[in-house]
Amino acid sequence: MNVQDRRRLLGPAAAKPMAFSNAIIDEQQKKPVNMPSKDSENGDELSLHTGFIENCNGSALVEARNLRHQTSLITAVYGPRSIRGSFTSQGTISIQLKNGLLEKYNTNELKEVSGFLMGIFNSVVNLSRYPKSGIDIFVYLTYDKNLQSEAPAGESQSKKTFSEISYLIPHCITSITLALADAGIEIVDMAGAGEANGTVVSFIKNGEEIVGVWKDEGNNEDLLESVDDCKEQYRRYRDLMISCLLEQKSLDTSSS
Amino acid sequence: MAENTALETIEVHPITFPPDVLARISPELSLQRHLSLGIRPCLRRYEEFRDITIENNTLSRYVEKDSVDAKNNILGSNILKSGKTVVITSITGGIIEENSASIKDLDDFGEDELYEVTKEEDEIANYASIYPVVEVERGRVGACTDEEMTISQKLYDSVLHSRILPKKALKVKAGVRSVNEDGTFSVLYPDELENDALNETNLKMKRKWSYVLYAKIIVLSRTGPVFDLCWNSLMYALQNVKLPKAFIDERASDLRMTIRTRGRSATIRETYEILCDQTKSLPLMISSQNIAFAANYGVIELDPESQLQNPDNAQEEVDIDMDKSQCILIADLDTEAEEISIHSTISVIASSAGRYKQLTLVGAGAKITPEMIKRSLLLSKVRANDLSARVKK
Amino acid sequence: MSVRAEIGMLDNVDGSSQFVSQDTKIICSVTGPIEAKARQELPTQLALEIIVRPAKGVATTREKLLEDKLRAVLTPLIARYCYPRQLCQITCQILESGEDEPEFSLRELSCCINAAFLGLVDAGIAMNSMCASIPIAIMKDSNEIIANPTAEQLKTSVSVHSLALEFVDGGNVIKNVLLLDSNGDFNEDQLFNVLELGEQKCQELVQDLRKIIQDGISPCLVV
Repeated sequence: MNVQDRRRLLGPAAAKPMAFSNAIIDEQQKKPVNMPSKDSENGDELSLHTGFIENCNGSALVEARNLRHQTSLITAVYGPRSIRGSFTSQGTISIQLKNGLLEKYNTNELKEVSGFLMGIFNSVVNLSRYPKSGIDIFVYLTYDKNLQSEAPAGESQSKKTFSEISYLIPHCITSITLALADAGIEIVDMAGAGEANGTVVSFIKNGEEIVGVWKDEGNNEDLLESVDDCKEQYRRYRDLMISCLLEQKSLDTSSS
Repeated sequence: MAENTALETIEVHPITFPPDVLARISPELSLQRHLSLGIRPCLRRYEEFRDITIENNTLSRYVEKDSVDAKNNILGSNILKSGKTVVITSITGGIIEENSASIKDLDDFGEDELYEVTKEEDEIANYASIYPVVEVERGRVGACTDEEMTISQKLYDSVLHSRILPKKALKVKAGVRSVNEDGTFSVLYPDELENDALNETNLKMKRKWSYVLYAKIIVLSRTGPVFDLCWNSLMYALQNVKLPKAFIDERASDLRMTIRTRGRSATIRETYEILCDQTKSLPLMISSQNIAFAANYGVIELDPESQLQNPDNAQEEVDIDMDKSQCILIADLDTEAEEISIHSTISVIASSAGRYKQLTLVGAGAKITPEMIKRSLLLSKVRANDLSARVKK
Repeated sequence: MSVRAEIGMLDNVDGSSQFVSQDTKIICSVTGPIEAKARQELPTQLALEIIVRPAKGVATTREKLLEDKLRAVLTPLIARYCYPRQLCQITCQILESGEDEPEFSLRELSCCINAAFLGLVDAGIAMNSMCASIPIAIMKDSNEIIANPTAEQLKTSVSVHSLALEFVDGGNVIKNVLLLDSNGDFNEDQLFNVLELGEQKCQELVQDLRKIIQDGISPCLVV
C-alpha cells in the first residue's frame, strides 16, 4: 500500500508502470486506416456540442480531427457562484486544465496554458456584471492522439510536446466560449483562436482585436503571416460556434 | 374577547409553487406527489431502469486491429452513458516482481501441485483485484471526497471477492530478447515455442513477474448514486483488456553477481527492466462465469398524506386510510430528490446465471421485507442478462 | 457468552466501550452532544463524526468504507432530532483485527457496530432502538453457514456477510435490517438462510448486550 497517498488506492509501491520497448515498428505499416481525407478543408474536422453535463451551469464538447491530431475535450462551467471572504466588485475566473485518460502533459505545462486562457477570458467575460462571484471553468483533455507518424525516438521530445499543446489551445478557447454561452454568462464577444507554426493568436470582434498571443519556439520569422493564418482559422471556428449555438437554440425552442 | 375576534379574522392562503420550484424546496414532498401518480420525478416507472449506451475499447492502444498506438498505455477502456451521466473507465497496467520467498514460486517443479495445496488453504488468496481511482467531477478542486474513496474501496473489494481476476491470469510469461548475429533483436516467448523443447529449457527463469492493473474512472455529470455505473463500466472495460507481452534481455534472464559489503557477501540481482512488447499482446483471461453487473434499488414508504387525489373521484377517495402505509421498490435511483429522500437502499451485483457477488442492504428508512429482497434479486438477474448481452454486439 | 464487553472504562469522554469477539478487539469512545463546527452542523439534527482507526498503520480508504457502513447503521439508531445543530463524535480504535486485513473487514465492521452501540448507550445519547451485529461466512464445499467465523474459517469461505439488525421491545422484536453487506459467491437461498441464522444469533447477542448494559448501570441504581 502506498503510504504517500492514503486517500487513493494506488496499488503496491514496488510495481513499475509498463515500459514499452522502442521496438522499430514499420512506419509504413502503421498507417492509420481511418485518416480524414486530405481534400477536406485544411484537413480539419470539428464537432461541437453543448449542454450535456447535468451538474454544472454550462458545458461543451469539442472534438477535432485533422491530419496531425485527434482531440476531444470537455469543458464544464460552474458559476457564477458566491465566493467566501471579502467583497469583490468583479467576478473572478479560474480555469483548470485536467489531463484526461492519457497522462500526457505535465502539470506545469497545463498550469501555463490555464494561465494563458485565464488572461484571455478575464478580458472576454463581462466580469463587472458578476460582483462577489466566482466562475470556475474545468477543461478535461479527455482524449488527445497524435496521428502523425512518430518522429524517431530521442529526437527533441520536449519540442514536440510543446507544439502539441499549442495545437490544443484554440480548441480549449472554442470549448470554453461555447460552455460560457451555454451557462448564460455574459461575454463581450465570441472568443476564438487559430494556430500556425506553434503560434496561437486569439481574437474577438471579427479579428479586429487580439486578446491573447501564445508563442512556442519554432519558426519566428513570419509572425505576421501566422497572425493572418490564425485569423482565418478563428473566423471558421467562430462561424461553426455560432451555427452550433443557433442549432442548439432552435432545438430547445422546438422541444419546449 | 377582543383578541379572540382578531384571531378569527386571520385567513390562511394556501401557497402554491410550480412543480420545479417545489422540487427544489421540498424534494421529499415532490417525490411523494410523483410517486402517488405511479411515476418518478425522472418520469420513469417504479421498476424501470435507465438504458445505457456503451463504447468499448475506443481509447486503448489496441483500437485498430493491425496497428497499435505506441504512445498510448491504456490496455482496455469503456465509456458508459446512463441517462445524463457519463462514466469513462480506462485500465492501465504495471509490472511487479514477485517475492520469490513465497512458497508458490519456490521452484518450477511441482508448482501446479503446490498451487492446488495453497488453493485448499486459502480461497481468496488465489485472486487479485484492480486498483481503482474514481473521480467524480463536481466542479471543485482539492482532496478527493469520501464518496470517491468509498466507491474506490468498494470496487476493489468487490472485484476481489467476486473472484473475477485469478492471480494466474496476471502472471507474466516473460520472453527473452536476444541479439542475432546481424545485430537485430529478436524476442522469444515461451508460449510461442510449444514444440521446441530445446528452447523451452533455455527460457526457464528464476524470476517471476505479475501484471498489476489500475483503473481510472471518471464520472461526469453525476445525477445520482454512481457505484453501480462505475462497476458496470469497469466490468465492460475488464473484458476487453489486452496484456502486452513482456520480455527481458537474454543477458539478464538469470544473472546474479556476488558483491562484498563490509565483509559480508550478498547476492545482488541485476535490475534489468522488464519491457513490454509494442505490438504483441494477449487478452486478459478473466473468469468469465464470475462476470456480474450491478444494480441499485431504493425502498420508500408512500405517504398517504401527500397523495395527489384524482379530481374525478375525489369524493370517493376521501376516506383513504391515513395509518396504512405502503412500501414500494424503486429501481436504479437517480435525481437528487430520490437520493436524499430514500434512506433504505439495496445494491446488488448479480451474474446472468443468478449467482450473486455482492449485496449491500441498508435499512435506514422504510422496512425492507423479504419480498423486496427477492424482487430486487430477480430484477438484478434480468438486468445482468440484459447488460451482459451488450458485450457480444 | 461468545463475546466480552465492558463499558465506561475511559474517563475523559462521555461514553466508552470495549468489545471483544474471538480475536477481534475494539475500543470505542463517544463524545457528545457537543458544539459542531459550522461545516458539520445540521439545522434540525445531530451530526455524526465517525472515525475508524486501524490496528496497524494509518487509516486508508479501507477505513473510510468501514466508516461509511458504520454511519449507515448508526444514523437510524440515534434519535437525532433530539440534538439539533450539535455533534457527536464516535471513534472506534481497532486493537486487534482478528482477520486478514487486506482481504476481509467484516469482523471488524460487526465489532465496531456493537462497540459503538454500547458506547452511545454509555454516553447517554437518546436512541430509537437497539442493534446487534454479527459476521457470517458460508464455507466452501460443505456450504455450511457459520456465524462469527474465525480468521481461518474466513479464508476457506466462499462468501462472507455482515448483518446488523434493529431491535425494539426489549430486544424481542426485529424492526428492520440495518445493514447486510455480502461479498463472494452466493445464491438467493443461501442469502435467506444467512438472514435466518443471523436473526437468531443477533437476537441472542442483543440479549447479551442488554445484560452488559444492565450490569454496567446496576451499581449506580438506588434500590
